[in-house]
Amino acid sequence: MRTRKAVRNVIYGICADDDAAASVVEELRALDVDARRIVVQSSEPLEIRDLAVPHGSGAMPWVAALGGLIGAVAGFTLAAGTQQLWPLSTGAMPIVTLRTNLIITYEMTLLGVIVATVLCFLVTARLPRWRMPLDDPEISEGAVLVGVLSPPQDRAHDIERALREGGGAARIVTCGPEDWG
Amino acid sequence: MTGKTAKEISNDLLRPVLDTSWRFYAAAVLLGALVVAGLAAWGHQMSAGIGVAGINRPVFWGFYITNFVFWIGVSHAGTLISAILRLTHAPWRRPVTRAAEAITVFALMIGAMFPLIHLGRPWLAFWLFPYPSERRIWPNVRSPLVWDFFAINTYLVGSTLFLLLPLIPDLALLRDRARGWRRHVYRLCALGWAGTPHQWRRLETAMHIMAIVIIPVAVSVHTIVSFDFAMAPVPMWHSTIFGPYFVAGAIFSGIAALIVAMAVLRRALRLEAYLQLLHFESLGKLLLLMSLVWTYFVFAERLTTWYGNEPAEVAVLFAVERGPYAGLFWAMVFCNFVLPFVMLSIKRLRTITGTVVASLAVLVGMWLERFLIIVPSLTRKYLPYSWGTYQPTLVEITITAATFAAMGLLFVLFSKAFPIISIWELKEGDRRAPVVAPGLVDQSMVMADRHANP
Amino acid sequence: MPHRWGMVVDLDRCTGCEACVVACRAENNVPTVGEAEAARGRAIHWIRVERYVDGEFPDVRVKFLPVFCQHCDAAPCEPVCPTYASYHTADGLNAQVYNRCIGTRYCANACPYTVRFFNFFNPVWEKPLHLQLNPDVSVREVGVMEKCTFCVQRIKAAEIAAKAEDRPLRDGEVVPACAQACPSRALVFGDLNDPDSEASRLAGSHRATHLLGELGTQPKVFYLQREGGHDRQDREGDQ
Repeated sequence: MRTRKAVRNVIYGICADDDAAASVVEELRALDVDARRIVVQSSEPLEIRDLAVPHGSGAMPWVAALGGLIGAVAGFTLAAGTQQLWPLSTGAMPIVTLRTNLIITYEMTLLGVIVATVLCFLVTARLPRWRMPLDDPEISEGAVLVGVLSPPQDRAHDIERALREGGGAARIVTCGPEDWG
Repeated sequence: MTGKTAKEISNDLLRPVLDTSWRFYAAAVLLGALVVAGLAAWGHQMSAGIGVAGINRPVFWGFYITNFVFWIGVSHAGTLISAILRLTHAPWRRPVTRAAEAITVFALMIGAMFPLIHLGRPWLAFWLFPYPSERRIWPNVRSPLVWDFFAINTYLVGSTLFLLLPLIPDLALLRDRARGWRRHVYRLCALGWAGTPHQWRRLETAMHIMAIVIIPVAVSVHTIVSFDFAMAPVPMWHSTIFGPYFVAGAIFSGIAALIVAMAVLRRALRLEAYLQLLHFESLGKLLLLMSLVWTYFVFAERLTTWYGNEPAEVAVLFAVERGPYAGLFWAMVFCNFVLPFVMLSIKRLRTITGTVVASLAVLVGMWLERFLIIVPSLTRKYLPYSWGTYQPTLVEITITAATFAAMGLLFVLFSKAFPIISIWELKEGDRRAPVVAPGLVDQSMVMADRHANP
Repeated sequence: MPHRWGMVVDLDRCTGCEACVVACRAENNVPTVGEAEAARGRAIHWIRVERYVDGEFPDVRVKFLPVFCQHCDAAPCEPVCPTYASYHTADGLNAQVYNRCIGTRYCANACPYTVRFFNFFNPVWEKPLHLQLNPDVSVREVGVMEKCTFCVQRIKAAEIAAKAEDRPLRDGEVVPACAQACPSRALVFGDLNDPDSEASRLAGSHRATHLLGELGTQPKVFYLQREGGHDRQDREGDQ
C-alpha cells in the first residue's frame, strides 16, 4: 500500500521525540535550507509549534464569521421571503413575524459558522489529499519525522549529516513521494 | 495521567478496534434484534395506522414525544459538555470527550426519528423541509416544529463534524495499523492526514471555533424543544421558565448517560487505566450540580403555579402531585434529587459504582420528567368535559425499548470501528502533564494544559 | 367587505337533544369509529353537547353547552402547524386543509377547546352506509386532523348561487347542518360583518360571552348565557 516511488526527492529522518525534532530543524535552518521545504510530521500536536512553518494567525475566525453572516442572511431571507411569497394568515399574526424569524436566522447563522469553519479547515490543512502523504510506520508509534523536500543535490550530504547529528535521528530514509508541498 | 507510553496507549486503545471478540458479535446481535423489533413495530404502525399507539383525544402526544424530548436531552451530554471541558481546559476531559460526542450524535439521530415516528402520515414528513416543491408551498416558519427542524439540523451537522474533526488523526493512526480491506477504508476516511505542525494548528483552531459555536447551538436546541410546549396555551405548558428548565434537564440527563456509557466501555473494552475514578468523580460532581439546578427549577415552576392558583393550571399540578400521576412524580423526585444527592454528595459513596447507580436513577427520573411534563397537561385541558387519560400500547413500548437498544448498538458499532478514546489527545495530555495519582488534579496540570492550548 | 362568519349559541334555548350532533355527522361525512375505539377516546364529533351539573341535589341545574370549533380570530391552532394545513381564510374561517396535513396533531394540543379530531385509522363506512356519504364533502384518510368547518360547502354553494343571480348573499341563506337541525333554534349562523344579520344582533346582547374568553383567542362563536337569577326565582316561587 505504501507508495514508495522513485528514490529521488526527499530525505527524512525519524526522531525519537519533539526535542530531537526541534534541534534537527535548528540544524537544517543553520544549513540555510528553505523553511518551506522542511517537513515535520507527528501523530500528536508538537509543543514546539513553529517547527518549520512560520507562525500565522490564520484566517479561520474571519472565514467563520463570514460564514455566519451568509447563514444569517440566508436564514432571514428564507423565513421572511417564504412568508411573503405565500402570504397565508395564521393566528392573527402578521405575515412577516420578526420574532419567530429570529430563531431561524439564529440557527442558520450558527450553521453557517460551523460549515465555514470546517470548509476552511479542510482547505487550509489541504485535506483531503488522496495520494499518500509522506508516511512512515514509526510516526504512529510516537516518533517525529523531519525531512527536506527536493533537497538540492549538492547539499544532500550536509542535510543527511544534520538529520543524524542534530537530533540524533535514528534512521534516515531517502525516497520520493508522489505529491508533496 | 495514565502513566503509559505513547506506544502502550496506541496498543490499548486500538485493540478493541483491531481485535474482534465474541462479545462484540453477541452484543451486536442482541441489540440488533431489539432494533429490528422496533422497526417491525413501526412498520406495523404505518400499515395499520397511528391508532395502534395509545394516543387519543385529548392526549395527542404520548410516549413518542416523551422519547423525542428525552433523547434530544441526552444528546446534550456530549458536545456541550465536551465543548465546555475543552474551552475550560479541564485536563481530565481527554479520555471522555469522544464518547460524549458520540452520545450526542447517536442520541440526536434517535431523537430526531420520533417526530417522524409520531406523525399521522410519516410518508409525507418531507413536507416539513424547506425546499421548492410541486405543492408550491413552503413550511410555515412560525411553527415551533419548523424551528425544531432548523435547530436539530444545525445541531446534528455541528456535533457530527465536532465528532469527526478530532477523529481524523486517529484514523490516520488506524490507517497505519489496520490490515486488509479495513486499511483501505481507514485510508479513505483519514483524508490523507499527514500530521504536519501546520495541520495540527489548523485542527486546533477549527476545534476551538467549533467548541465556542456548539454551546449556543446546544442551548438553543433544547430551548426550541421546550418551545414546542411553551408556545401552546395548554395548562402548565405555557411557561416562560421552560427554555432554561429544559436545557438544565438536558445537561443533567446527558451527564448521566455519559457516566453510564463510560462505565460500560470501561468494563467491556478493559479501559480501566484510562477511565479512572477521577473521571467518574469529576462527572459525578457535575451531575450533583445539575441535580440541584434541576430541583431548583422544579421547585420554582411548581411554587409559582400553586401560588398563582389559576384553576386550569392547579388541576394539572395536583393531578401530578397527588392525583393519578403522583406515583410517577414522587419516583421522579427520588430518582432525580434524593438518590443522586445522597450518592454524590457523600464522598465515601461517590465511587464508580455510586456514580453509575446515581446516573441510572437520573436517566429513569429524567424520562419520567419528560413524560410528566407532556401527558398530564393534555389529560386536563380547560374544559373538564374533555378530560382524558393515556395508556401506552405494546407498539409504543416496543419502539421505546428499541431506541435504547439502538443507542447501545450504535455505540457498540462505533467503538468497534473507531477508538472510543481520542488517542492523540490522550498522548498530548500525558506528555504535558506529570503523572499523578488518580483523583488528584493539581494546579500545575491545569496550568500546563492551559499553556498547551493558547 | 368580506364576510365574517360566526355563530351564536343561545344556552337558554338549548335542550341538549343532540340533533345538531347527528345532523353534523350526516352532512360532513364524519366517520364512526366503533364502540371500542370510542371508549379509547377516538370518537369524532365535530359538535358535542357538554353537560355540566350545577349545585347540590335537589337544588341542581343542568347546563348544556354545545361546543364546536370556535373559529378564533387569534387561533392557537393555526401558527403551530408546520405545513399551513391550518390557516385563516379571508372570510374569517379557520380552515383545515386535509391534503396538507401530515398529522403532527400539534394543532389539537394547542386548541384550548379540544374540538379538533384525528383519524387514528382509515375510516370505513360499512355497506350500505357508504350510500349516504355527502358528495360535497371529502372524506379524510388516516393521520389527518379534521374539525367543524361551519359547513364551508354550504357557504360556497350559497355564494355561487348568489353570484349566479348577481346579488349579495342574504342573511339566513347559509345555514350549517347543526343550526338547520336545531329544533329550539338555539344555534344562529350569520355574517358578523353585516350589522343587520340576526347573528350580529344576538352577538350584541348583554348575555353574549365567549367560551374561555380569558385566553384571548377571539372566537367567532358567541354564547348567550342563561339568566340564572330568573330561573332560580321561578323555582322558589313554586315552593
